[in-house]
Amino acid sequence: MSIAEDIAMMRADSFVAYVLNGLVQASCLFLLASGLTLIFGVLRILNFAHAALFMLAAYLAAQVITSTGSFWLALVLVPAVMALVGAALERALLRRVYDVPVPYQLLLTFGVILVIKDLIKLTWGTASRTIAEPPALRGATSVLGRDYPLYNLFYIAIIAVVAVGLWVFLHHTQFGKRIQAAAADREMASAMGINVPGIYTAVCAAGTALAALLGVFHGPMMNIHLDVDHQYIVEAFAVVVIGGLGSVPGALVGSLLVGMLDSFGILLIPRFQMAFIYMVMAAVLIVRPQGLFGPREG
Amino acid sequence: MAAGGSFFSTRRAWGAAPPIKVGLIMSFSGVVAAWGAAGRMGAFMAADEINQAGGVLGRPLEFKLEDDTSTNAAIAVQKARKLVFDWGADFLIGFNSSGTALAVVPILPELKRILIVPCAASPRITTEVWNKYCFRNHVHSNQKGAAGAAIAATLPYTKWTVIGPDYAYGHDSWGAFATHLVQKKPSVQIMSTQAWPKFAAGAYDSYITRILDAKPEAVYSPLWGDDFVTFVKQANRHDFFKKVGAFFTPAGLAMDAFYALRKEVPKGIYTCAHGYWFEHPDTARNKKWVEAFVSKWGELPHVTAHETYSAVYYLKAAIEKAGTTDTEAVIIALEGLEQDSPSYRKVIRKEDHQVITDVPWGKTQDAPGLIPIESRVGDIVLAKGEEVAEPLDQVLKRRKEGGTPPWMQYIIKS
Repeated sequence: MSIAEDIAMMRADSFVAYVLNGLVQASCLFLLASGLTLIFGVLRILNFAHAALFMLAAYLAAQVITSTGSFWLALVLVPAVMALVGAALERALLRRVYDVPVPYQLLLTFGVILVIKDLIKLTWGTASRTIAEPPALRGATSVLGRDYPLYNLFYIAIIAVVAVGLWVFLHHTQFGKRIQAAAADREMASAMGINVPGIYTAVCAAGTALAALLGVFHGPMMNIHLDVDHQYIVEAFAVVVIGGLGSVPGALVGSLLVGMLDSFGILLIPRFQMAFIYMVMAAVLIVRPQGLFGPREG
Repeated sequence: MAAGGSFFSTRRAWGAAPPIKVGLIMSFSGVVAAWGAAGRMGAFMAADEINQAGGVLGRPLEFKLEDDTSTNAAIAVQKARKLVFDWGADFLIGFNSSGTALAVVPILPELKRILIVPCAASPRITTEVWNKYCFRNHVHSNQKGAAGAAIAATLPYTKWTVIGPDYAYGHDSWGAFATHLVQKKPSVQIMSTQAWPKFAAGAYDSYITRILDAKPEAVYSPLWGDDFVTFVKQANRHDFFKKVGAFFTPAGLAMDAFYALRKEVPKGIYTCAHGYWFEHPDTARNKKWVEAFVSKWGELPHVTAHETYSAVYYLKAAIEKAGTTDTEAVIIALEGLEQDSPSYRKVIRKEDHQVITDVPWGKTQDAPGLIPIESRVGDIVLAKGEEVAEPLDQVLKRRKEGGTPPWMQYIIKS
């Protein structure tokens, strides 16, 4: 079937299904990329271990759900615990490498991945595990007369709420403004009386909590295993590069772009579906090296 | 990340007898890590039994594990070289993925070591890329495809499509199945709308939407390992398995998927569990083996555990028959060698070193009493090994001509 025929034959309900599939992908990428880009924007550290933290959260969620049977408890508990892990990570490790050359920072965060993986292996073994969605969100609902998974809709909605919440927090709260100030100029912010080290810890905790939130939310969509981080980190980095390192709106636009390209790419030219993302990334890097929303740097 | 380390299964006085070294390369990390873990269990179980009973030619078996990371062909080649040249492996057993196996088979003449493949199922391994060092004690996709197609041809469905991983195994598995199906039932229509996600894709929603929109009557899927589990979780939510008349997966529903999915295993779909489901055959020999496996490892045996167990016993029998570990002599000893594996009788065909053995296909059903998986493969129909074996003249012709297998016409990616 040719592309033209495919589009011509496409019904409205199919089109909406592809849009929703793309939004699911975009939501997943956004939750991962926003934490990554937030931490980079403020701490100036490219946290390679970000997806490993997401993976750890997924294992924790599986454990909480197995022990208590409650998805909702996991949803509250796991991001809270992981925020503490993120704070500890910043206090104990990242704080020591702010002023050293980038390769050392990468080595450190890469080392953290290995530690997390070995911890997971020791605690839960190498067998993969899965999470079931809460009973209330099982099954499908009708979208334009077509069955669409209820959980996918819930997933898109919740992450949209998180995105809006994040925007309001960063732009319309005192603390958010302090974060932006610390990100823009560390020394000036410190001189103005802002507790910069405290903000760094808080941002690392918040970014990690975002990854953890995805660990729980994405649990029912995936098989949780020791290499699940690889599957997501590459596209998350692509999103961050497309959107601009350090830019949360950039992460949002980048996620939407990549999510839709993934979804419609499968429909139109499945053979090149994977290549699309990298073609877009290359194009952005050529035309706007700082990314779509990245600040222009000297 | 690497699961390395030497292994002596029993501490006993072997005197001056040097160990027979066997390198086991499997996927100990990555999307099919469960299959590597299963392979280790089967191989170690056999080695323990053999060493406790006095070893092979009075020598103990010693194992070393190397990880091919599920997908990385270059690493697989490097690990094979390392096992032979650095560690001094006498024999190699290996590979879950055909992607890695197909990269290593061509360097075997350089290594001058026998490789027994107990899992990777692309037919190319014992045809197009084959050389005399390469053996497979496991049924390949063409045998499984022939057995599956025999059942599929009796169903009232004519419009068939596929969702499979986009590499040699996925193509060969579907291609072989489609070829047999069309031969057996010429009214079958192979659809042009097909889904070929990359290995370890993670997201299948749009592939599922695309396939459902094309309204197939039946779907075949060579997805396997964690890919299949992820696919099922997403497909269940789209009611995928209720919207297609029949669903066939040769390797998706091996034991790893049953453990991961448990009650979420879709019911009424067809599978051969990659060639072995532990409840079949219902013989004393198989039951005894399963019991021993469960008591040793605390879990039900995966097909790959069964096959590495068989591979180690094949090596033992061939070395004893040859009276030496010399590669050339053991090659001759393995050719035509028969084995009563815990499940079915196996014979290694002399000309292509490919095992001829029976293939079970069944249907998934609820099994509330079967703890902890609560699902099973039931109603198993056994295809006779001789009936599903690829005719020798065809194998030799493909080997001579090389290139790509004839069924690539059924792989449509536009």
